[in-house]
Amino acid sequence: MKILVVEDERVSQLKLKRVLQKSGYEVTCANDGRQALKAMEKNDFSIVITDWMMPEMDGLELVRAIRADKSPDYTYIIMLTSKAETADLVAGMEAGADDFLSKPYKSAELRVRVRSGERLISLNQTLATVNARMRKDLESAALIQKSLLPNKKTHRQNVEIEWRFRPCDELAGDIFNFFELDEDTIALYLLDVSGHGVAAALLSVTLSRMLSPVIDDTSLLKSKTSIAPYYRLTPPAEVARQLNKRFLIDENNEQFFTIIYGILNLKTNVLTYISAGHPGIAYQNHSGKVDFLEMPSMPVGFTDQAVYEEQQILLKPSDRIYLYSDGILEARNPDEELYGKDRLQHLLEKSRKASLTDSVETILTEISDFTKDAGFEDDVSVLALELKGSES
Amino acid sequence: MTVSDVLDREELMQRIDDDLELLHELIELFVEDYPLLLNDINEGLAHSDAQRVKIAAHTLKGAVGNFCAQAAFDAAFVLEVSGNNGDLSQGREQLLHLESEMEKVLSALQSLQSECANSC
Repeated sequence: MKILVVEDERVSQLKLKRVLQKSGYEVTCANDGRQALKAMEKNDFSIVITDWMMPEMDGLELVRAIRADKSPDYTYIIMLTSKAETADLVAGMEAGADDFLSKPYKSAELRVRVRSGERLISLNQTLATVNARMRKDLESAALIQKSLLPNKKTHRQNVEIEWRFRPCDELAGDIFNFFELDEDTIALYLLDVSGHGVAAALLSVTLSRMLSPVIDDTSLLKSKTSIAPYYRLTPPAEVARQLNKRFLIDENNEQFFTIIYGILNLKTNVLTYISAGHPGIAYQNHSGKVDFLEMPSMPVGFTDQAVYEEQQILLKPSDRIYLYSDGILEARNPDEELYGKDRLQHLLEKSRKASLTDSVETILTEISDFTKDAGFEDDVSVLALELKGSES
Repeated sequence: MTVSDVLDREELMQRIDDDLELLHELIELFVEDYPLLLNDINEGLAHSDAQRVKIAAHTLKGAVGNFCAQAAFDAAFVLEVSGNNGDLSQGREQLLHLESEMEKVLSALQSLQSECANSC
């Protein structure tokens, strides 16, 4: 381990150097703070032992300069004080010194102080390593999660679907998707697990597996039957009830989630959907007017008494619907104001003439501008659908 | 006057882990440096430069402190305080006192060194 000794008085400097060298440390000496900083540019020192009163740059200034430098590796600083300077201890601590050794000191005392510094440095390094590994794991997890989002446009000519997703700093609790359940049906959902981080992400990934068009043991949306067409589409209300049964919170699992799940019949253009505690679908007709289709209901997992009722809406050509997470409504500006429904309504009405892609993009840009430097506190997801074709 | 009248020999040896070679090195450095520091104090007094007196006395105090020579340490500290207070009115006398203490330290260190040379 490399130690930098900063001491202007040569006898004390030599004594420090020898004692430390005898204990097996690699020691470099500097005569004042300025020299010390120069030495630190060339070499990494884990521990700096510095005198207080020195010409050019004194110990206190040196400590401040070291702490001002945002190097990732921590430098452990021991300040040497003579007894008369004990009153300055507070100033030294505030500047960022880790420990003090008052002169005159015994070699044995110096050694134990240095050793405790060494312990802290090595704990720090262990933490940094573990932290880096965890960050890498989280990044991979975020990538996996992202891969579960829609990855291609629909090829249906009469339907356009657009989406945007922006996770907050941690792992996301939002997930959404759309797919064809059969030739005549498109399913879409957007869900938001409470909180974020690993637990929320794990649940959202599990849910995305269950909300899939593939018929298998875990799929909730489609099941096999013995008569033609040999499958059955689970009605949205039943999907919600099933989810609520499977994900009821208990003492081990305090997570819940809100979801909108709907199936659009492409022959009739009727969207049948349920909302479980989720912000209402923003419905926009060709004139541009936006209505929020609110449906008071409990999030999934809250209580086994929850009732989920299906709603239906007949979409006409050029009608748009927007599913979104509460990360939009609850985005906060620096004045702590929430973005809210009114702003979203106004924004959507303003961008009615823009393409669906642009209107979805605008939402994210606007939220980004609104929150300014505060960043995204929560995940922000938007899934929008427009029915194509000429108005009749 | 014996070595022990001037410095705490036991404490000194304990502080350097009985490393005689190191003691020898420390003494050599000290012998080189202390006249320069005394001179610095002298110059400071001549130019009524309290800051210079303070710094040189502080440094000398640190140096002599390594040898557990309490009287010399105290004499240097007195000058450091005078410099710090900007009051050099007693400076000359204080310096004379310090110089005489330093002479004692020097001779004590020399006898210590020759003792060690004989015994080691």
